[in-house]
Amino acid sequence: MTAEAIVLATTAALFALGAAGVLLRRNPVAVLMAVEIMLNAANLLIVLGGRVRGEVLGQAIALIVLVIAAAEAVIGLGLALALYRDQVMADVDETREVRG
Amino acid sequence: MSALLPWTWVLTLPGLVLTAAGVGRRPGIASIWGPLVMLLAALAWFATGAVPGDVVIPNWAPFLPDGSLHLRADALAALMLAILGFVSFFVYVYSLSYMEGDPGQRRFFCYLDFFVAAMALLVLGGTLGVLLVGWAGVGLASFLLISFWRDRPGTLRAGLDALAANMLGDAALLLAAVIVPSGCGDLTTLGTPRCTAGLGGAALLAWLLLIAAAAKSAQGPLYFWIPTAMAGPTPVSALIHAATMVAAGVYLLVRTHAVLELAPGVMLVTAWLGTLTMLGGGIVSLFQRNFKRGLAYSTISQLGYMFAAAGLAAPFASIFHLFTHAFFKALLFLAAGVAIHATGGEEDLARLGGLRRRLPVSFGTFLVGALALIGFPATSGGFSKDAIIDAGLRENPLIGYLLLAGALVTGLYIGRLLFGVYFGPERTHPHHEPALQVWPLVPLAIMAVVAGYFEWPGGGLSRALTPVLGAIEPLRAFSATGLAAAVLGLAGIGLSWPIVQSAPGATPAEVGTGWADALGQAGYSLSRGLAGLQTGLLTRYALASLLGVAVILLLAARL
Amino acid sequence: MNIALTPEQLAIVVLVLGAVVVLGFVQALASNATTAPLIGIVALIVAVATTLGGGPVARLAVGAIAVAAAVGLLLVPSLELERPTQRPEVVALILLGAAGAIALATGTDVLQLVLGLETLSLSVAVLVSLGSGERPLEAAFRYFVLAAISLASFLYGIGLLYLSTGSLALPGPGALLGGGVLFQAGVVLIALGVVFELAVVPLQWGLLDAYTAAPPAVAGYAMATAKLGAVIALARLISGVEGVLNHVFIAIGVLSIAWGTFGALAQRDLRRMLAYSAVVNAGFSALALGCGPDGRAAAIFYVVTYAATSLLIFASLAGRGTGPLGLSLISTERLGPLRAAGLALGLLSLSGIPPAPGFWAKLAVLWASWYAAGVWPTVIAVLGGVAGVLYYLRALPDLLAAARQVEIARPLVGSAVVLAGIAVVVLGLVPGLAWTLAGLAGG
Repeated sequence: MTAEAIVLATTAALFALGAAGVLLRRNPVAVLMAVEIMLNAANLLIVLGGRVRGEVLGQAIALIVLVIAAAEAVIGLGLALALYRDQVMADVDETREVRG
Repeated sequence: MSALLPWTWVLTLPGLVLTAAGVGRRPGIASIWGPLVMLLAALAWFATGAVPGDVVIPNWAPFLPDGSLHLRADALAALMLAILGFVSFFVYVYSLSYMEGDPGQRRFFCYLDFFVAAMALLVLGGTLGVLLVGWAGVGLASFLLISFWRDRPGTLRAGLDALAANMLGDAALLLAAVIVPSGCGDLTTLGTPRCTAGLGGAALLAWLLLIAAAAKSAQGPLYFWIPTAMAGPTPVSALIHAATMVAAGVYLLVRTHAVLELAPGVMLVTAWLGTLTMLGGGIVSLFQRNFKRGLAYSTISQLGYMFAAAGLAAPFASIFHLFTHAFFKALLFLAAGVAIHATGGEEDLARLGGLRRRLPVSFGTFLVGALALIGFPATSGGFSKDAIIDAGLRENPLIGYLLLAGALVTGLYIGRLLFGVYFGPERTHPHHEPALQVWPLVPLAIMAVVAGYFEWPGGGLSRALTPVLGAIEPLRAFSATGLAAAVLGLAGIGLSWPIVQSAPGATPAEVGTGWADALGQAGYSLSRGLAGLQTGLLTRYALASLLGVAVILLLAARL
Repeated sequence: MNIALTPEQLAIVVLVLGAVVVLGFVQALASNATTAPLIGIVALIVAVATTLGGGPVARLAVGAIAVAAAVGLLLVPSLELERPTQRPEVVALILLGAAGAIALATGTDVLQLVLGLETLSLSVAVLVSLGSGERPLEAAFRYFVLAAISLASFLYGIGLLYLSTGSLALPGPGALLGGGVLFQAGVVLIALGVVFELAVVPLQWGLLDAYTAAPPAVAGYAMATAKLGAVIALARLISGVEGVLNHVFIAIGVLSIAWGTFGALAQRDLRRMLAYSAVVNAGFSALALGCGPDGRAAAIFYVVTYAATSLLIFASLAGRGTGPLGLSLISTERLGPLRAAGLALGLLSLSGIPPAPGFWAKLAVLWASWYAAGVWPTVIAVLGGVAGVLYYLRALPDLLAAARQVEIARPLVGSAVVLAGIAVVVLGLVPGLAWTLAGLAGG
């Protein structure tokens, strides 16, 4: 297997790992971390693209994506904090008033 | 006149605005002039040479096959406008008294104004697109008027029933509007081979038109909404669910008769649908305990006659019966309304009776209406029903004899209502008949008798409509079949007397609409089930989303 | 170095600057409820002015999104906020969201798309959470997490695209056929990333809850802006890569129409019903998007009328809070004649009763669908469209009966209703106008 294929597989595996984390973890912060893993998997793929092409563009895009991910994290943590403020064992599946 | 007639649909809009704004000492007084002007305009059009007029604004809705705003005034439209103007004017006057004291009186007249405008637009529509606007408008008006009384239980439900049936018809008509080939939106060109060839023949279009018409006119399985629609005020039942809106289905079939005649299979279905509905409606009417529902099933039955005529390639007979039916059915409903109003809202046949002494005008006009309904010779109904039965015997004898037999059923059910309400012991003491409610009954009764004389002798109506409907079979008045139908009708009335005497007011449980309710329940359960999938669990949401994405990726890869 | 900005990019810059200005003077603007929104409206007007010389896509996108944002701004005073300093912040968020939507709609490469999408999405997430009680926060957090997952797959798609083609430009005509598996997967993921904002099956979960629990002022703005941005972007994306994407969109569209219709039928809560309605309408847009050039024009026409209608409905409901609203008299009373009329008109438009614009828009979609998608999708769409009368019009008799009651006056809400109402009425009476604009933008 070529190096690219290995990295590609790694990004896919990371993405799947993150997805599994979102599906299986109940703590809101853990869910957000899992999402970050997914975002970084995508970022790794973009870096791979730049490496394959021998361009700087890939790395530039990756930096922009890092900024986007950081903004995500800020807002996500802010929302989580507002929602689960006092709870010791916060559970994303527990608050269920909006449904049906 | 030909340039003005296409715009008559706006005539009730000023009334709507004025009544909504609160103008007028009596709510509605600003609105009653619209229909009167509409009637006069239509009559003036006929008087000044009956010149067809078109108003076309091209490219108004460019995404439609024929996207022009096209209003056409021809003999058929003018006839419908005359009917609409005449009947609604008297219904408005009647309502001034009937709805007096009702807190929503203003709203009532606004809704009526909206209805009249939409109905007029429907008949003036030159393309399917414009017709659709009017068609949907009358459906909305019907819903609002059925559910008019907000403080009585069940009126909203009845309105939703009407909407549900309407839905199916609207869907069919919407489909028809989009599938018609480009350049074929004009209703008069719909029947040409060029336009139907693109669809693989006229059958598809004919089916869609039939479904739409059947839904609006409560034919076949789509009848269920009319009985419950009687929850609305009686003037509404008279105007919308007897004389005009339900007739829109018949109007559609007559207007597009060229398409129907290109699809003989659909024609046959139409004729049978009408015949069976005619018989079924009449028979079910015999089992109704509610006065208005008994009349409602009568409407369904008479509409069946009109559908049968359309299916027998006799569009003139169909529209002629629509014309006469509008007068005598509205008359029957309004006369019934007087009785109901005078007994404090009593509609149960078990508690009505012997009203002819204190409500003489109501009784007299109801009798006239009943005679017209059974086709008594020389009444308007006599002429028009005979035309239909004649067409039946000519084109499809089996149907013809069934239509003839229908006269007996008609006599039975109307006799039952006539004797049950106006004869026998007085079970609920009635108040007097208010003048404003009684006065409009007289012109309607007159028309119920003389409307036929527009056609016989001299063929005035058929001559006027020939440009629209093509060659028309001349009317054979006072023929053998006509007399036979009249005899059967009178026999029916006669037979109903002992029925009423032996079991006054006692009828089995209301027959009719349970299956539609069951269907509604099923839909509701399905809906609740689906809504239950929205669990509120984030992890489930995420799972569903990721699975969905995966499925889409896989499908995209395979395509 | 030559930095030449296209008109739409200039518009984006104007809006971002407006947001920065408002944020810079938060304390000063917090005292008066109407100053910050008015600054925002000035920024919107300037943004629209800059695009008057631009192309049809720019004019349509910026114009429509600006109107949506304007209505949103006019409704800001009706929001129940914890602290007065939040008001200018909300204004800034609305401006940023609009900027993101414009970037999404007019972007020429996938990076612009994702930046616009994210700005829009994050602004909406925060706006949704602003209401009293736990419900908005709950819904906003769910929406946020799902949006983040969607972003991750979008970015993964960008990675695949970049890996296979070396370029970030939107794929051109016929490219999908030539590219390999990676390229095709990438394009699908990118499309799905934008589709997330549309609220179609299978991605409707988060938005459904968000639209239910958000304050009415926010819900209308969010629905309008997000759908406008997403549909215009998708129209441009698909025009390059038809083929398999068409089938995907037709399938998604039909499923969403069915799902949303059945979901809405038994709802007794007006807000929830309107959320399911959003799914149905998104389904119509998606179906149209899959139907070739005529379909894409129809999709844009549809989303413009839908945006106007949503703005009208939610402007009429502004200030009613984030709890459930019954469909009966008790909670829709005291709306006053203007807002009752607005709500009634909006409901009529959604249910497809002519001459309200929703009728024309549905016809356009059905017409495109019949010729491109075939019999069954069109039949399902027609039935789903007319079935709407059963749940939209349920509230109408009570609404009209109570219309004369005196309303609780709220500042600026009336003007928002009037603005949205004018848009709806014009679109309804002259359908050809919007159609021409849509055709130029989508074709």
